[in-house]
Amino acid sequence: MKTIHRLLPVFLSLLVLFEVIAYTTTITPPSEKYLQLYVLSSNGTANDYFPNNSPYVTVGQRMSWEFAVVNDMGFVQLVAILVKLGNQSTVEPNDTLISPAAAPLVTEFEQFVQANETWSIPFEWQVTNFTSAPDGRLHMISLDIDNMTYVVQNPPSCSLTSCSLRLIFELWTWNTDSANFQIGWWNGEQRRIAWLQLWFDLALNGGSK
Amino acid sequence: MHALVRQLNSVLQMENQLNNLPSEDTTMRVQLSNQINGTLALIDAQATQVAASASTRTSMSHLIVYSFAPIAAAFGTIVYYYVVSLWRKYRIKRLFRMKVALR
Repeated sequence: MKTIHRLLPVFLSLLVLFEVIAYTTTITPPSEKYLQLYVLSSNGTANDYFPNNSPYVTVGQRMSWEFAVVNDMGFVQLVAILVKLGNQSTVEPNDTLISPAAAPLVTEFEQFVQANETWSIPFEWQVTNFTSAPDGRLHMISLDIDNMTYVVQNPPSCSLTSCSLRLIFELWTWNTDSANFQIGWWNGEQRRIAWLQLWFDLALNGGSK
Repeated sequence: MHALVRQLNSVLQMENQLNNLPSEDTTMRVQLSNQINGTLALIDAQATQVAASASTRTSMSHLIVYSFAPIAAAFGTIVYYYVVSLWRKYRIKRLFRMKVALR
């Protein structure tokens, strides 16, 4: 009886110690949750996006890219990639203000992406037609993306000498609270965004005026 | 989980098809809508099952981990008891080996 009384505090101390160890092993530590977005050229590298490595794009010239989203959020995520068409004066997505680009939407891709998985999307595109005024303002630009035609009316304007445009890729995720897509994602209390852009010069002599 | 995600993506594809269908193609529209609703109902039922089994699995693994603590504590106490007893025996043994020497 005396031995039990003497050993009881030892047992209780060890019990508390092991329960604390068990608790720390079962709780998942808060890790950073993020999504990655990247675009690769046809040869799987982050260069040679355009034929002959020239950013001048003519009507009918086909570009073959692949963009991918890596889900490191730890759970299934409904992801949307918004493809927008911008020019030099387009307001880019803002990482601080968490705002999307002020540019016309061309198309979007949606997919449920599993945790620790990569969603790869082939992105084959070409400019099929455009119309522009003598002052260089584009009236309309028609893009063929993955064999679907998208017509952008009143696209961002550009000058006659050089028509620098860019394709902006924005990553949006489904917000279950607001039941809507939001730009970027929540990492704890912080909002993060991911976006990419690829510049090209539209060769104006290849279209209709 | 893989199967559920696959089914969810198939719903997205069907929705895209539905949006691209001409409005006059009512037969196909109704058929696709029914297919979407059916798949969603199936996903809903499967998701409930997956959630329940995942919850049970997590509870069971927590229970196992927490139940190891008293076993480990009991084992530690026994070890402590024998170590203390051995130490005492050693101390007593050393005490009896002592020699009284005159200076």
